[in-house]
Amino acid sequence: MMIKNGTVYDPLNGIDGERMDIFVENGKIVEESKEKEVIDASGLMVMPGGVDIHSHIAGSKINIGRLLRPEDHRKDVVPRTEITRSGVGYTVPTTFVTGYRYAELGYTTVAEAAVPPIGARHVHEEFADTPMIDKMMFPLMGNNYFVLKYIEEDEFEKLKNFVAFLLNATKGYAIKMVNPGGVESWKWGKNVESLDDKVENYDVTPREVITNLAKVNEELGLPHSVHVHCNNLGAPGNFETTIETMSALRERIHITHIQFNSYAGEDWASFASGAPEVANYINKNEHVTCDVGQVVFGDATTMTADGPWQHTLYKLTGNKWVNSDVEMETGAGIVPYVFRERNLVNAIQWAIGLELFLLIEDPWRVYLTTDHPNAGPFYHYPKVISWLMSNEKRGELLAKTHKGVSKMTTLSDIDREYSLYEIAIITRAATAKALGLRDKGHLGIGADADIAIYKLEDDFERSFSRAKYVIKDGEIVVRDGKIAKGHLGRTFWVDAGGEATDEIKEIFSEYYTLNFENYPVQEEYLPRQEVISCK
Amino acid sequence: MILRPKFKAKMPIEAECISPDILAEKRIENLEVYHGNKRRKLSDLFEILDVKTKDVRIEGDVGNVKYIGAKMRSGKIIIDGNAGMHLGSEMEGGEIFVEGDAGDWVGAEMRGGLIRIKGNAGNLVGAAYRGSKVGMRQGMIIVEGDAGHEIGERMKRGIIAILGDVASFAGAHMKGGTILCFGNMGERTGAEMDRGTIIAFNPLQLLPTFHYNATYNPVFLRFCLRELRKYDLPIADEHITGRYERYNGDLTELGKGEILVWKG
Repeated sequence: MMIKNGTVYDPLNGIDGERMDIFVENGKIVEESKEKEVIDASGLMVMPGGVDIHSHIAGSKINIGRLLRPEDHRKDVVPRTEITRSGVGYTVPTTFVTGYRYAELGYTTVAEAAVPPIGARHVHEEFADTPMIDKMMFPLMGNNYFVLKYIEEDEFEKLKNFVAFLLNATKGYAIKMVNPGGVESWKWGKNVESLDDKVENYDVTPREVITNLAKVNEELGLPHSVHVHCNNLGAPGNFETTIETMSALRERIHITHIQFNSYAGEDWASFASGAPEVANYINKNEHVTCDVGQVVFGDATTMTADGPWQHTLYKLTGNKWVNSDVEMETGAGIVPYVFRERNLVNAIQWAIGLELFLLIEDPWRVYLTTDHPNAGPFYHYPKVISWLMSNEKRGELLAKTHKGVSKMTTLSDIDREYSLYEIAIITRAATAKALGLRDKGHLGIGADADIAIYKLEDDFERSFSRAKYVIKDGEIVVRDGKIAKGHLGRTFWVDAGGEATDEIKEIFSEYYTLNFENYPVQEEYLPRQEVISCK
Repeated sequence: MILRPKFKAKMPIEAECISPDILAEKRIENLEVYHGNKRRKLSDLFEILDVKTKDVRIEGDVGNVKYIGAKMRSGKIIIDGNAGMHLGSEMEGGEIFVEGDAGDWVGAEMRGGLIRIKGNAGNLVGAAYRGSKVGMRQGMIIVEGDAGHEIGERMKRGIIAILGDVASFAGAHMKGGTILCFGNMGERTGAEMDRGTIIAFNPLQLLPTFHYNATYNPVFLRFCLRELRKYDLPIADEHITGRYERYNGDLTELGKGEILVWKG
C-alpha cells in the first residue's frame, strides 16, 4: 500500500509537516511497496496511530461501573451495522464500542491502567472482545500484601522476583501504584496523608513502597517507568505531596492524571491551582513524565483503586457509590460525577489541566489523557486538542466558567498554543516512547503500520473527531470516520522472568480464596499476543 | 388523525412516533416502528385516516404497543382500548387519555402534561428509569382504577392520583411532588423518601421509620383538593374539611417527606 502525498507529522523521526509518501507491506512500514493499493492523501494530515497511556477500558471496576449506570447507557445507544456490533456508549461504553470509538479517533494502542492482579483474567477476556486497538494493562502493586511484606522484611530480591512473577502471571505490562499504602489502610477505614505515614499494620511507608518498586522497575529493565497515582489525590493542597513523590526518586517515574494531584489551597473554600509549582518541578527534572487527566465538562464516572478517595467523593456528592475490597491486593471505588462549568472547584480543575499542558515546556513529558472515564470520556480528546491549539477556543470556554477561575489559576495569562507537531507528540510519539513501544508512535521503516489520516479543517475539534482513514496493521479499518473493517488487535505483555517460590505458594494457599493454580492467566486467554522482553 | 390497528399478533411493537408532534411534522409514510425485532412502516401496522387533524385517536386495543406519546410536547392522544408500556414516558406537554388499562412505566420521567387512564395502570407510574436520580418532574397522572408497585418512585414534582388501590412501595425514594390514593395503599409506602407528600384517604400500615407529628387540617391541602376537583376526582367535602394525621419520614433518609392519613 502507498499513502501518497500526505502531510506527515512524525515527531520521533523529526518530520514536521513534510509532504511525502509512505509505504506499507505486511503490516509494517517499508521503504517501498509493490502493492497497487494507493491512498491519495493530498491535503491530508498523516500521523502515527494514537497511543493512549492511561485509560480504563476493561476489568472488574469497569464492569461494576457499567452495572451501576444504566442511565448513562440509555442516552447513547449504538445500533448494530453490517460491520460493527451493537452496544452502548457514554462514560462506561461496552467493549466493542470502546474499540470502535478509539479507532474512529485515530487511536490504535491503549493501556488499561489499573488492574487488580486477581482480576487479570477478566481483563484479558474483555480485551479479546475489544476490537480494533492494541492493548496492554498495568497490574496494581502499591498495596499488595507480598509487596508490603517484602519491603517490611527488607527482602529486595524477593520483591523483585515477586514483581516479575506478578507481571508474568497477569500478563501485565508495567508496575502501577495507586495511593501506595493508603488503600491497604482503607481496609481499616483509614488512609495515609503523607509519604512518611505508616501503612496500617505494616512497618512500611508510602515512600518506601514507591522507592522500592521504582528500583525494581529499573533492575528488571521494564519498558515503561513506574506508573504512579499519588497519595492524597483530589485533596486541596496535594501538590506538595506530588512534588515530594517525584523528588523521592531519581529513577524514571510517570505521574498519572497529574491534574488531580496539582491542587493548592487548604480546603474546598480556598481551593486553587498548584499547577505552576508542579510544572516548574517537571521542567527542571527530566526523570518525570506525566499524563494530565484533563477535565471535560459533563458526565463522568469516577473509578479508581483509591478506595478512601472514592468514599470522600461519595460523601461530597451523595451520588451512588460502590466500594470494593480486593483480597490481599487492593481495593476500588466507583462514584458517578458531573463536572459543571459554573461550579468553581470543577472549573478550577479544568483550568489546572490546561495549565499543566501549557506550563510544562517539554511536550515529550506531558501526555493527553482524560483518565477515561474519571475526568470525562476518551472520545472528548478532540475537544482538549482544540483548547490546546487555540487560545481563542480556550478563552470562549473560560468565559463561560465560574468567574473565580481567573483568580485561582494562571490560565488566562497563558497564550501558548500547541502546534500540530506538538499534538502529535503528546498523543502518540511521546506516549509510545514512554511506554517503551519501539514499533509504535512513529512512521519510520520497520514500525507497525498503525496510521491515522485526518482532514485538517478550521475547527480542530472536528478535524480530530473522525479520522479520514485509519490503518491498523496495514489494513484500512476506518474510512471517512466510520469503521470499515473489524480487526483484533494484539495484547502486549512483559516477560521479566520471575518464579512462584514455595513461599509465595504457601502464603497463597493460606490466605487467598482461590487455588494458586487458578491464579496465573494462561496464554489461551490472549488470542493475539506480543511478548516484550526486558532490557 | 385516526389510527386503526391492523395487527392481531401479540408481538410487541415500539412506536415512539405515535405522538401528535411527530405525526404532524414528519411524512407519515416514512415513519418506522419496531415490530418484534423487525423494522416496519407505521402504515403497515395501522390504517391511518383523517390525516389533517393534529389530535390522535387510536381506535382499538394497543396493549402491545410501547412508547405511545413518549417525549410528546403538545396535542392530544385518545386511546379507545388498552395501552402498552412506557405510555407518555418523558412527555413534556399535551394530554393522553386511555379508555382501558395501561402497562408499566406510565409517564416515567415525565416533565409535563396530563395522562388519564380509565382502567388500571401497571407498576412504576411516574417513576425514574433504573439508575436515574429523578422520576416525574412535572405534570399530572390520574389512574381511575388500580396501580401497581413503586408508583411515583423518585418523583420530584407533579401529582399522581390513583382512585383505586396501589401496591407496595408507593413513593419510594420520593424527592417531592404529591401522590393521592383514594383506595388502599400497599406495604412500605414512602420507603426511603426524602421529601414530598403522600395523601392516603384510607388507613394504611406505615413503616416504623415514620414519625407521628400531629392530627390537623392542613391549609395547603384545602386549596390543593379544591383545585383538584376540577379534574373530576372523587373529593368529598369531608376530605377538605376533615382532619389528617401527619407522619414525617423516612427517617432512614432525610425525613422531610410526609404521609397524611385522612381521619374524617
